[in-house]
Amino acid sequence: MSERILKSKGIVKKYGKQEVLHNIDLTLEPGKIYGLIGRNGAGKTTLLSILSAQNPATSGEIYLGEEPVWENPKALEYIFFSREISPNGAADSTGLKVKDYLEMAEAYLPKWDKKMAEELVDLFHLDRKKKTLKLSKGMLSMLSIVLALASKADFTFLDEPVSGLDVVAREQFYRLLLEEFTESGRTFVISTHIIEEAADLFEEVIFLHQGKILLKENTQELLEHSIYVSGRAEEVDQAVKGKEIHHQETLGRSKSVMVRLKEGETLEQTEGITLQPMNLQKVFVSLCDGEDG
Amino acid sequence: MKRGKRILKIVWEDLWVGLGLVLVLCAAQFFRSSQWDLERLKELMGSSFPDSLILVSAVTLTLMIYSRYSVYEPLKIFMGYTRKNVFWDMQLVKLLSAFFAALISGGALVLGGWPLTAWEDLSLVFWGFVLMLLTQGVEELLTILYLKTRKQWIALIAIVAACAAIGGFVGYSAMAVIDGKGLIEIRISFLFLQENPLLWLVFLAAVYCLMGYFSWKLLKNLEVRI
Repeated sequence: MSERILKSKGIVKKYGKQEVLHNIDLTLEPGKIYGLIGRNGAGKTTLLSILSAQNPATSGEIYLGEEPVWENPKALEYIFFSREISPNGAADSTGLKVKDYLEMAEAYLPKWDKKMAEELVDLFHLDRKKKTLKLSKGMLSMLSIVLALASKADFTFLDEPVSGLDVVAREQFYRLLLEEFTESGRTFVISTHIIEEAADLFEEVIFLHQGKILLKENTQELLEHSIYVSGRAEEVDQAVKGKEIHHQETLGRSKSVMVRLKEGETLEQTEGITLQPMNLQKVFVSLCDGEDG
Repeated sequence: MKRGKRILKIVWEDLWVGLGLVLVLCAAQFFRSSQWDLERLKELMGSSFPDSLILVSAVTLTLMIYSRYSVYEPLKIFMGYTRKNVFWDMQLVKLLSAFFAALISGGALVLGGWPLTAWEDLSLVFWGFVLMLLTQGVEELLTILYLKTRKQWIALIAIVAACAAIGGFVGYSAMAVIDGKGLIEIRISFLFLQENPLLWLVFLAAVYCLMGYFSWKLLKNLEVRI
């Protein structure tokens, strides 16, 4: 298991004149599960495809330890991005089958665990002879999960892995991921829209918004420091004075805000205001709303 | 699977498409004729097989290049294979596919006992090899250009031309077999190249290298979609 960190410096990605990633500096440490959270079009897939050298950045560098990742087979041995397999993708127009993907993975992924892949294919009841064109969205997600887990890559990125999966399959995936993480200590980066369900998995969360990293923080600390304050407007204003506030809402004389406390800061419970803990989804929505607002 | 073995597997998969088509047509000619003996088979092998194989392979190999670049190569990059490795593997595949097609063609010419009266007969194999390399080079460039720009018409140019050529060849051959003509008279000639072979060779090599250079320039920053 590599103890090297994966680091991006000043990643910019442009499509024509449109800049979709703005100067991204990101450090991914070994042995963590990261949640990459962002709205549609925030640049999650683009960022992961650049970090894994599947697609080029317009500018900026990515290093695994001291080695650049781009076009470097030695570094790429340690990184795998199992992106969503598009049902309308080029590979499906010629009718590639599930077994074709597995054979390619065995041929090209240096740490491929064939036994694990076979077990997962059976667990998910994937038909090896079935063309990917005929697989449902959930089945395609299962295939990309099989590729990701059996790749055994030290840095494994999963793009919307539970997209289209039913609740049973989602639970299976979370359990498998935790088992694999516990056994191997690999680093996983999981981009997802279903935030609350996966929140417990994430040691750190990365919020990506409009091509910029809004926040990268330990999940537990973020939740401990994020408080929802509501009550009469004057009292709320008084309570949160000098604090970092987001997502203010006023309804008549009532007001609610999200407060992010800094290290060592506290918020006193006073009469007329209510303090409530926040879940990850609410924190994300509040922070994005603050940026948009 | 080792890299060399993988490349040879691809070469074989690419080669049998054209080879199979020509063999089927030759078999049809053989069974359609009333003379079912070794002499007839040798005559068939020596007459239409070499030209047909070069012509058909020049077309089918281009289609295989399109298929590989648009389907399999993005998947390889998805699996962590570098673009540089993809490109060099493909150069070897192009070279070996053309080489083996030319070799089989030359083998058929010799084994078929076709009278090798002049240099032109054997030069067919060499210039056939060059032709196959060039058609693959053109297709490689067009396919990568299509993948870069995602303009469908660029891919369609070559596909339509290749399909028309194969259709024409199969139609012509099938008609000849149905009509019961003795041999399918398909002759390709590179005589015009023989007037100044060295100059042509240098010119065509330069064209081939230039196409390879531009293919790489486009491939090295290609966006992968799977």
